[in-house]
Amino acid sequence: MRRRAGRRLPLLAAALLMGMSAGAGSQTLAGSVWAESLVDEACRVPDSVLTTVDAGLPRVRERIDSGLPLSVLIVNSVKPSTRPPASGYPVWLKGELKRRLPGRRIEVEVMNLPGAAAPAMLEPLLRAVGERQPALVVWQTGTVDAMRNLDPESFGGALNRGIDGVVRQGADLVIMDMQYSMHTAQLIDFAPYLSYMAWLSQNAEVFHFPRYDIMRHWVETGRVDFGEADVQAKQDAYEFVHRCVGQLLAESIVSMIDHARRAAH
Amino acid sequence: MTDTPSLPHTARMANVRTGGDRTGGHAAGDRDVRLDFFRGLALWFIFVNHIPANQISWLTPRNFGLSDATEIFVFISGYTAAMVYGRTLERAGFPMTAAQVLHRCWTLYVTYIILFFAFTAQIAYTARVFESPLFTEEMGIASYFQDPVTALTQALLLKFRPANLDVLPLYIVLMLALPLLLPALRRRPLMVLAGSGILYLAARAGEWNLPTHPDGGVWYFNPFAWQFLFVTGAVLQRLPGLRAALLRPRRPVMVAAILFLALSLFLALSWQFAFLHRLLPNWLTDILYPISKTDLDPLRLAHFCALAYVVLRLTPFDAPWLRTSLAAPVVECGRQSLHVFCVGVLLSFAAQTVLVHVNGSLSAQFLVTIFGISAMVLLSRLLTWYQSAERARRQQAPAARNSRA
Repeated sequence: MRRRAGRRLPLLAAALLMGMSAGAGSQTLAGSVWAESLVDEACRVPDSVLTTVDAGLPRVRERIDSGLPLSVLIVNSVKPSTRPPASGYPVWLKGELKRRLPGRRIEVEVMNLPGAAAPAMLEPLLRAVGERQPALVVWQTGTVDAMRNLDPESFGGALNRGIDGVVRQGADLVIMDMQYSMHTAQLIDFAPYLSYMAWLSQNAEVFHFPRYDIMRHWVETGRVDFGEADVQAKQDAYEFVHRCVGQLLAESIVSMIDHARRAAH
Repeated sequence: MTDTPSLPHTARMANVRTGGDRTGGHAAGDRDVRLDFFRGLALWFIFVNHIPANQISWLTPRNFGLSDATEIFVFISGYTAAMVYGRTLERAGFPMTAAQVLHRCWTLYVTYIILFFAFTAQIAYTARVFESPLFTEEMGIASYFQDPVTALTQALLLKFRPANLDVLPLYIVLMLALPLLLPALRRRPLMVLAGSGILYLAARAGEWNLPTHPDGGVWYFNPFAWQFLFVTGAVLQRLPGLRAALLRPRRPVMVAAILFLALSLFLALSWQFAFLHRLLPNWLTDILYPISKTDLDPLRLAHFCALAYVVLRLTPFDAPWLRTSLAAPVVECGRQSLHVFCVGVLLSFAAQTVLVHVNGSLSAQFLVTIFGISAMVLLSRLLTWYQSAERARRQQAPAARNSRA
């Protein structure tokens, strides 16, 4: 919740950028110009759902500009399944980043902490960041906390400490919130955790990837239906969500690296 | 009273007789309709807020200030509980009062169990639909059913709770404590208030709360903190002098209260609009946040007090609009608050189910909201009718026996 000064520069840059993109027709996500974007038509969401205007990834930018690989560590509370791992969004993310950053080395690692709430993820997360020194951490959290009705404050406290810890170790951070479906939203009250994440990202040096709102947009615009009963439809929904999350996340990351680069020059 | 239909009048008579907590009949004539109106309003808000997919919840106070309908509901519940059961205590003694309160708690508990079964059916359905790799790997909804014995036992102990059912367990434990509170409240109300305040501060400082199932969770409304608002309502009911002193018209207090409400409005808007948030200096946000609902943050309490002061100054005891036919549906719901509250929780669950499984469009949201509120009003009217008819029947019965004899 501190480091406000650190945000002014990217903000100013973003404002300038917006002016520039309006003039030059730049093709960043921020400018909401999807025409030549690498994101599939069906995956796209409006700016009101996902925008990277305010954000930059200065540490990632520094690393890759000095020739280091773009190493991403994804930390989540997923229970790894027996299915081939090729279908999850981390794999898509790697491919999509390669498409967008040709010639760069991209490394994506996943750390599963099955069933762990945010406070329990904190210690292994920070240890892994210390050991593996990734440029970017994607912290996928909130689901377990919401399902178990855990105290939103200890959730928020853990997020804050996690963000501070990751940034102090020289990596940038993306926090990813929960999955959305109407059915689960009826059973689980996600709101306090979601609003904490959204609010935090307005203030701390972290990008909030609004998976919940994105999936909700897809559902509401009829692009995917999680209520389908047959196995193939479920497999298709899985494939669609992970492919699109991979694409949108890659697009956001690259666009934020761009922002950071322009802010730096 | 001139322009009201006869309904409120019969309702009052019914309440005098039954002495139930239908916001309690006071001696005829000094009934404070404001209690019914604002509690009824709070019940409407709680119903609307408990339908997550409902855009209409934007109109409820939680989006315009720090406190919300829960504070109104808990405070007025404390006030009216002291009023109704305080009178029972005076007339019928402690055992009868305790029995009546426990009877209320039983009704609440049964409602809770009914809701739990509706919820379990919902989970069972969802778990079947969601045998999908997408959600099982992160959510594992089916795990709710891996240990049904534990889940059911925990539900009976109010520990395993569906989303959005949190006000009910809070209400139950507050009511359970009431018989112990009432005798002390009669003799030493200020001591009770002090004790309640100390418990509130201690619970906040010591982070006391009741656990939930699965392990590690806590009650969404911490009863050790929220009891303070309930007891404050009860104490103010016992001390009309203090009440009048607090509500005396004073310009500086009014100005301060309005200023506080305006700042709260700004804060509430800053949660939605980042540009407003950036106007807040860091030192201020460091002091302000987090504003805990679970532990009834002092800022929420202050916001409720400021709101109550301003609203009660603007709405005097005999405000004519309270007795218009426009206000009547709200007043009726507030008067039958216990049943309307329970049915409201069931209705919001049903409304949510409709929005999820049938149609979630804006017009459907509007429709289920209107339908739900109409059902609440209808229920309150039925109950009012039933109570007055039942009363008339019972009065007739002895008369008929006498005439036969």
